[in-house]
Amino acid sequence: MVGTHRRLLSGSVGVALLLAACGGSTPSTGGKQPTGPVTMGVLSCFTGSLASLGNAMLQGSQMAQRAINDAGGILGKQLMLSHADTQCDEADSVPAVRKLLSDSNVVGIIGPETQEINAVAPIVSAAKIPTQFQGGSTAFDHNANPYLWRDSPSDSQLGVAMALYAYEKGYRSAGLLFYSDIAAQTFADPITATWAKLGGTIAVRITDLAPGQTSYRTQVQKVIAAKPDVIFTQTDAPTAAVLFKNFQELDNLAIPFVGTDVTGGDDYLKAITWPVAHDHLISVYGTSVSGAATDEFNRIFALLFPGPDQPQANANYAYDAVISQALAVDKANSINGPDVNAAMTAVSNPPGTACYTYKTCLDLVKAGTKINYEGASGDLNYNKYNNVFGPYAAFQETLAGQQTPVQTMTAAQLAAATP
Amino acid sequence: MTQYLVSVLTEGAIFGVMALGLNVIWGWSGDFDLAYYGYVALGAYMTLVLTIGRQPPPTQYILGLTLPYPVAVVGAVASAMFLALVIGLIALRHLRGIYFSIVTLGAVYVLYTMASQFVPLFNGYQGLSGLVNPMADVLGIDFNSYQYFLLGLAIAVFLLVYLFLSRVSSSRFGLALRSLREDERAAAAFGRDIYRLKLKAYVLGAAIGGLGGALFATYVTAFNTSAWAPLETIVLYAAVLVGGRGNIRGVVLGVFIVIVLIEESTRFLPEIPGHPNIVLALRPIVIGLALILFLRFRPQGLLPERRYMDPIQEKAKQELAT
Amino acid sequence: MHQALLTLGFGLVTAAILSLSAVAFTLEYAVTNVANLSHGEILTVGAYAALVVHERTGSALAAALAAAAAGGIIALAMHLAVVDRFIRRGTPTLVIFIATLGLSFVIQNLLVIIFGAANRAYSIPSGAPFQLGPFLWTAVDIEIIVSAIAITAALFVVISYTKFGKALRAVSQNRELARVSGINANLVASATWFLAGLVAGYAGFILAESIGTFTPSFGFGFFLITLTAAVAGGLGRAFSTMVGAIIVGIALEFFGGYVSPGYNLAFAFGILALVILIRPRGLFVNARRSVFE
Repeated sequence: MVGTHRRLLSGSVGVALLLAACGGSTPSTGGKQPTGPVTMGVLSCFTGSLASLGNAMLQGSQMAQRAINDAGGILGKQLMLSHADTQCDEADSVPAVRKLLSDSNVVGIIGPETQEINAVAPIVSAAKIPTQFQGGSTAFDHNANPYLWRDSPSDSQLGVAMALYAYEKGYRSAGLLFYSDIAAQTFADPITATWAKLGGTIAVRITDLAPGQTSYRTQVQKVIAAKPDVIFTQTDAPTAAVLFKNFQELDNLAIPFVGTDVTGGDDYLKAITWPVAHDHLISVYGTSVSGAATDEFNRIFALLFPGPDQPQANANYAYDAVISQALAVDKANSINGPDVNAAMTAVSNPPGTACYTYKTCLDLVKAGTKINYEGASGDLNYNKYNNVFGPYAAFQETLAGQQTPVQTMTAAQLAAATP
Repeated sequence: MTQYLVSVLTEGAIFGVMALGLNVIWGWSGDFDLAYYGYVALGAYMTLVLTIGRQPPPTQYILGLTLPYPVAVVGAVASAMFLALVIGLIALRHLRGIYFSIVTLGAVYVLYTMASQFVPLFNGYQGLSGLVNPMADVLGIDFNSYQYFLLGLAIAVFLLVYLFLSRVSSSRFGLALRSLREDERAAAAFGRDIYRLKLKAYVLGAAIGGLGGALFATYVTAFNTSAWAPLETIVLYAAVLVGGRGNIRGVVLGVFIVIVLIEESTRFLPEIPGHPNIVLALRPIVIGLALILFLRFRPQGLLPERRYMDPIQEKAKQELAT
Repeated sequence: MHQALLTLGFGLVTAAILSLSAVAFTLEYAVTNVANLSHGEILTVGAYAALVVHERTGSALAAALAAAAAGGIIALAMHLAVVDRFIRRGTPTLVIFIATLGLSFVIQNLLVIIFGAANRAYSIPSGAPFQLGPFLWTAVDIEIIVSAIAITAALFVVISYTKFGKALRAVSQNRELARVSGINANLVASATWFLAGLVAGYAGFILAESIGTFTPSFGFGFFLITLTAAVAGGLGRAFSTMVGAIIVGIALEFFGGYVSPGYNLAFAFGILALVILIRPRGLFVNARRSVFE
């Protein structure tokens, strides 16, 4: 009995090593054309407290997919989108990205968010697939990984925008109220530095709020006691619901809030309820540049999602990410990861003929012209760290549940305010 | 497709290890331990902090060494055993039944709260990551082949644990344990030191759980609090119960049915637009229902435990039946 | 001092809700000897029922009634479909305990399917806070405390003075003896679970109102604290459970206010472990043997 088991044991280990030795070779797609529809994977949270981020990413990607397929697709093949749910945490992001990478015709990954990038980065680099990081983490400002790109401005810029907006509103004393999530940590320093440069003071600073508690009265009292004119904040939706409730109990929501793209998300606004958001919250996040690219973006949105709704916050970045990546594939004339990656800056950085829609850019590429795609969200001119810069706007929630911009700040204004 | 099968089988083997450990505590010793997944989680966390070295702030955690992988696994198992010793010393002394379960539930929630709130411990909610392909460079395995190696490793560990436990099952310790489960007072009358027996079983079960956790951390390369709600234990209990409580072959069957079949079959259900949560939520519903139904109609599981029968009694029974 | 009184004030609100939840749990335990691990889900169901009704009618009163009704129905269903069947078979209570855990899983995830996993909130205006003596309460806080006292008083009257109450006490003391004396034990048990469900459902509604947001799993989290209060009071003793709940509720609020609310559960379980290890019969051991002293 035992002998059989022992043989079984050594047998299985042997087989495994044998498989490892000769099995599983890297699929070589060197310079080759796709054998079927080309795929891009959307990697984000589609469930959980930050699900609005994933939904926005998917929305933008779907719009780009429509534009691309209407113009004939990528290398003549239609573009398919696959998506995998990371639940906004590292442990789940690993099987999720593996699932996306298992497609043999995958040419790019859109995502993930800041929470997952540490776990995902080594995997996509080893797989050599260009990946469009959609998170704002300031740690990415000095990214050295050639396969990771970010076509949305860093939170360091978002922090500057928040401070600039609040200062121009006339506030001078500020409080910081952020939760302990890694994505919220990156705001404290840029906001503080910009605020100081503009001439304001920080009255109270809380950046370690534990999410998902049933009461935050102690911290809320601390903030109220410091008497700030405005509170900069980002937490997830459940935390916000309780926070706002506590503020309501203790000071009747007397102090206004300035938030980020997360506070402009559907879940967050629903959690604190639209009337409260309308009266007490302004969310600052990246917006689209006016021009032909944004017109195209809006045209496709109206086509795919007719009705009164606006595009979700940050959908424009996903849209541009997919378009520029598709153009890189067309330019490289190959679905091989390293080839596509090498072509990324060739299609979106100057010099080159400016183009604003996938169709016009594709025609130029086919004609052999060097292009410079200017996207809906910004110029997509990557710097040496694969980062970009762009405009921001302040949004208010209407009573009907839509975000409307009330003030815009251009990249130039932000650059001037950046310490 | 092969990649998918490989990952499912690897997960199955890892959960098999965990379920075997749970079987020692519940199947053999009869203690409804709700802290079990805490040992799995500790094994995972410790494996990570012993291998990933120091990462830049704001990530914080204890230790942060870069020990060789096998050493880290041993360390992880040892820490799970230590925690089980502490909890067992308190909970097993005087408590049985519901009170024991409640105290262990409390213990695992304390651990869970510490892990998520006390950031310097295991980086709070963010958790840890970075255990990518341990031993790959030593053994010369490239990135894409590593999954096969891990599959083999998981199966090898599972078989080792299985063999070990089948030995234990028929040993004096195993028999004493099961007699204890049936009737504590009778066992005490026979001179068994109940407390020491149960404590030994508890620590042994936890060690195996920790080993499962170490493997799990290797498979996922990362670990954080959302990867282990204390109620995950229910899935393991369902596996042990459905397969056959007390029978290690039953446990294997149970893992296959509950974890492989149920978990994976729900993955293939079509997604209903607008309701992304339905498929995710169906799994625990099926598992919860399976738990209730089996407890009601077949509490011994599909492969009931083989009772040790006195040979004379056995023969007599057979003769009566004919 | 001001801070301490404020905290005490908030603690009284928590204690009110906790005492309702704990008493309901204790009633369930008293008549069936089962620690119902899916008790928290009764609260959650109540909270969601209130949400549905409130969104449709805009009336907080209707929402409260709906919460209670839904709680009663789900508790009765739990009893008839699962718990009672096990009891009739003579299954050991530990096994039923495990089954209720499975039930908790099922109910939580059914709610996820129906309502989604995202946080929901009522748009019931709580009004501006105002000073009442040394405490800072909103109108809703006052309603919560007053209604909790009223319900508790009603329960006391029912249990101590009505025929049903007498039957309840008889069944909880000794089911067989009660049956032999002509009491329909099964009917009493079912009715008690329904009653407990009414109370727990309403508790779910006010809990959700008080925190400000809820998800399908919020009842289970609160249940763990309910368990602490129930065990501290003495499993099966309704009124000492209430006292236990008040103490635990206030202690938790102080702990959360002065140390850190994140560790609330850990603190609650610390209390629980201590009570179980030192005084497993509950803190009020000198109470007489019958259930409701």
